[in-house]
Amino acid sequence: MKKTLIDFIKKFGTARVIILAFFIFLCLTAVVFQMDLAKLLTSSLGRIGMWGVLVLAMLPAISSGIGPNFGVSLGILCGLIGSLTSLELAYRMGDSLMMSGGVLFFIAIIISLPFAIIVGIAYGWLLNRVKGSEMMIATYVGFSMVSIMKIAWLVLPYDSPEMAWPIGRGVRVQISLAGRGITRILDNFLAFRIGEVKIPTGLYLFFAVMCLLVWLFMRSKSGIAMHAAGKNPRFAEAAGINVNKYRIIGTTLSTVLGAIGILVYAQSYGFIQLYEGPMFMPFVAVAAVLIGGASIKNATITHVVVGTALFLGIQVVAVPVANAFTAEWSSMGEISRKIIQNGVILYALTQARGE
Amino acid sequence: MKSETNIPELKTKPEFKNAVRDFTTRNMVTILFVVMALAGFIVSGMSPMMFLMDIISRVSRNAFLVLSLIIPVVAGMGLNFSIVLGAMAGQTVLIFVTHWGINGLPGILLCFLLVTPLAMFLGFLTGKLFNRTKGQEMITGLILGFFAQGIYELIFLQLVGGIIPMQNKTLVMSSGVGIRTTVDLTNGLKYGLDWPGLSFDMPELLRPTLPHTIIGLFIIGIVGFLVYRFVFKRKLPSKIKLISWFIIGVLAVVWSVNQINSASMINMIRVPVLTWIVILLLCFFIIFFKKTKLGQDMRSVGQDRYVAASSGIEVDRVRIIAVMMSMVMAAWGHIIFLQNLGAFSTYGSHEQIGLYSVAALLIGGATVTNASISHALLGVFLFHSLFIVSPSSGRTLFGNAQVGEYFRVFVAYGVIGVSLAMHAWKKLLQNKNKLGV
Amino acid sequence: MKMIIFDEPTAVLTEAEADNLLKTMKSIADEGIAILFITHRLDEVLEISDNITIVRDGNHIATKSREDTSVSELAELMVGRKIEKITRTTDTEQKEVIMDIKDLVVHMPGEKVDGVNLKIKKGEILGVGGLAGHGKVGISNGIMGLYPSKGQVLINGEKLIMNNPKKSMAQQLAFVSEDRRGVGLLLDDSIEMNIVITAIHNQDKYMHKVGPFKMKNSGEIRQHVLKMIKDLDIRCTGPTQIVRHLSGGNQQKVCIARALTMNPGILFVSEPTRGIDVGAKRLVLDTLVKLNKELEMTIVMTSSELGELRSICDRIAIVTEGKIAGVLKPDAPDAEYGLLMSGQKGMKGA
Repeated sequence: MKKTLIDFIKKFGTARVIILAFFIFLCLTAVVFQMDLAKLLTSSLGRIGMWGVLVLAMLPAISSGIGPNFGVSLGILCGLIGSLTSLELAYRMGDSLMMSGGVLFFIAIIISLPFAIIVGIAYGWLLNRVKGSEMMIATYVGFSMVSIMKIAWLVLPYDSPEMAWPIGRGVRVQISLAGRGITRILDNFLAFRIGEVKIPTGLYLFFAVMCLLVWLFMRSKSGIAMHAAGKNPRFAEAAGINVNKYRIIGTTLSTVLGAIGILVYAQSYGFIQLYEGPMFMPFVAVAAVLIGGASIKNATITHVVVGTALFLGIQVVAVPVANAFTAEWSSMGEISRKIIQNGVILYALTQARGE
Repeated sequence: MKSETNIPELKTKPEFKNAVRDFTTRNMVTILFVVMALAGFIVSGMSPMMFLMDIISRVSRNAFLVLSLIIPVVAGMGLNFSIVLGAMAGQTVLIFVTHWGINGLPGILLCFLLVTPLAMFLGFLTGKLFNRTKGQEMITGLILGFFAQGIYELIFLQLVGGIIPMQNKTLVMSSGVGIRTTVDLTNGLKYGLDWPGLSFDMPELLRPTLPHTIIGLFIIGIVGFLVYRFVFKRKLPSKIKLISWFIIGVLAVVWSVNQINSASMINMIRVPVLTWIVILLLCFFIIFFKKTKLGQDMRSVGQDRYVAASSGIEVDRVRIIAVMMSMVMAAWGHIIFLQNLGAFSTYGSHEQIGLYSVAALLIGGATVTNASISHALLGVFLFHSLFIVSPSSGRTLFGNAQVGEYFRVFVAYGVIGVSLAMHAWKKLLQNKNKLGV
Repeated sequence: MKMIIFDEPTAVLTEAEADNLLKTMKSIADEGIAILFITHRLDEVLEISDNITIVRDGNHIATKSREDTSVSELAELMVGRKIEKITRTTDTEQKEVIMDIKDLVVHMPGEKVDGVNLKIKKGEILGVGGLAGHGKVGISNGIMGLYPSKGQVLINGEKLIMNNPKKSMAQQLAFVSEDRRGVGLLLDDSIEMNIVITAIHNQDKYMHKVGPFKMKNSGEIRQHVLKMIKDLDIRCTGPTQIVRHLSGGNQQKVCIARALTMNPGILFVSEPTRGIDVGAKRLVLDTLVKLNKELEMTIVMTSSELGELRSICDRIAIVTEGKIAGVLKPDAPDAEYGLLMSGQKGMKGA
């Protein structure tokens, strides 16, 4: 019995076991303090579904060998442009086209796709030139782009009243989606209740479809080639696989998923967050997939799902539990997130086999 | 090489052209920033007095921090984003010394004393971590900075006042738990180093005016040069450099005398000489250190870990020492930074430290594998010049000062991003060449 | 200084420079400093050494003083008398040429090929031997496009496009690399994946079309892999076992299985028995002989173990200092092998 426990810990990773134990502890504490479990569960389900596709974006990146995509903020920016443009279109066309929330959501996706594909290919080309330092470059390219887009948000010609500042140029920091009926359009689709808990069916259906698409891709000829290119580039070259090409494909897929992911996130949250918003989102997604069991070189869909559930579940439950302990510990939620998130990434970095 | 009088020789057309072309390509980034800063200054319409006051202040408080980045670069660990930990150590000590009510220069000296073992400990841990992640030190340092922030917040926001007892109405929040979001050092440690005479009621002590300082520096420079040449009989830097420095010096002295005579506003600007002396001491230490055996070992480790190891150098130990030194310097540097700033955001100050210090170093011409004192000092000057003129330029050009502010942050990220990319690209090419392709 | 060790110091020098170095070494020794001179060049050794030690495969073979020995004795000692049963009796003189290699140059770090001319006969097992670092491993790596190469390689008269693994495989060449764990396998993937992946990617095998996409045909793959496991006797828990957990010999068989899945015309095997226990060695060699007999597959085998080359090959080419020093029959005397390997002049036809 003891041996199997030790084996389990070794296989799952010490850090992960600690995090899992922490989560269970939080849940038990919530029960002991007789907190509103239904509300907590509803919150958790919402949060997890919100981040799902963004964490999924890590999979093609890790598979193709460029490591966790710290630069998925590029994809996020493409998605944001898509959403802003779709809102602008709705405003410019007036109500003559009667675009509903759902339609707008899908238009946003369609608009962001070409941006995401082009950006993904360029970004992938850059990563091919910096093999061995992808993570660092990804981080700083991401930071730089978010920074320069801050200037762009101030000068781009978006006029829709819900987006633009009433005085002066530029778009607001946070844009509400409620006015166009986009808020929770996926979440509420086919949603139902079990007791007091609300299940956001549409959200999870969408996430499941995205996972399915990725899974199918990984079984295709391209997916298999990409997997080999990421696992052992020398083997792949010897097998006639163009490693550089598949790294670009992986990067592009990751960027596209990032764009779609932020749109899912925004519709669930109810707001589009510009300026500083996308800056640190990649780190959450990276930490989530690592917590789920992935490593710098290996990730599966199971890792994505488990990691998202665990990491984001903890975030939701930690805040009220900390508050229940003492009111002064109100920041513990945020602090524990910082520590866990970055601690997990550090742990994964020490596990990656050297050059 | 050639004969002693090589100035007329250099004026030979093709050699001169080549020299200029070489100089430009090697220092492209720096030249670009000089142009940008100059253009920004002109566009912003700032008065020279405001600019000079601001730049002296900024250089004095940031130089030490940027200098602390040099040693990890030399030891082959790239850009040390984990100096954030040193900064946090500095902040910790500042908070406690303020709490104990020790002010002015003595307070600052106490801070330096206390922070050293703390920073050494943090540096030791960081060095061990870096040794576990060889090849990915920079991203590790970056993430470690974020991680440490979490721990720092845990201690100072949640534990202090409660589990770690601290009774202090000014520092601790009204709830009794957690340090307030801003710590004000006025009447405490503020200007402890810059105005050493403050607590002794001698505000002018070691704070000469700018024109006096320039004249003084020029005299010291001449004396130093003569001593160097005739007493120590050491070799000189290139004639061109000497002549250009001399010309700059003379121009500066002439300008200074002019300012004194015209009793302009410039005479109001005072220079924190004690701080400058401390910075200078660090520079001498770095120069001296590079010549010691440990310093040489670090350089070997930085160039090629495997060759260094086969020469009998304990690579892991050397790397840890490099990080520890950097951390201590960063801690001191942050204390110097904060005593000039006077008040700081308890939970936010250290965030940008890594970003701005690294960007400054790179703008001065350093790369991921090569950094020197001149890079650090020039870089601090240029980066902060750009920093000062950006908001006003933004307002003039775009009608929005915010654009200028966003621009300068983008510049910091962009410079680092481009440097990293170029370094990684060069490394790839170098490895391909090693294989004899 | 009491002793200086020179490790292959003349490898990159011209004859005149080498002469100078040898003279210098002699004068250093005359001053009382001991010199350890490591080299494969027998004539140099005999020129300046007082005592000569032969080391082979990590074992000390003999120590002779200069007066007591000769070039041919040293050559013989280098090669050794491993008594392997010589089983090949085929005469290759009449067979047609399937691959004609002219002036092949390959930039493989540590195994540079510097102008190799070689003809490979259809249906033969050709051995490629020589000392480590002299380029024998570079030949097959270069032909398969794994390292930058130039030269002219004709396959059945058709020119091979160099530096392109895909094109090499399109010409029905397959390769089992000497770097089993580095280049030869996806260590963390299943036996199944390792065996079929090259065929999937290069020959569009084992895929079925679903709309515009090509998807894995798990059934077909499983069938083929089970057959391979049986035919090559790969000891494993099943086709889904992770390759990392197999023994060296079985890993090698997986590599061979992958090459065979491509139905190659010429199979290049590089160091097939390196790092494998004795029992498995025999199995691998027997498998190669079987393939050659039953499928009439041309096999080019590169190996540092001269003994095993002599036991299964029809002809053996010796590569020295990047060039073919000579081609010998398996039953040629040891001394001839030794002389070729040590760079003595006197080539026997290619």
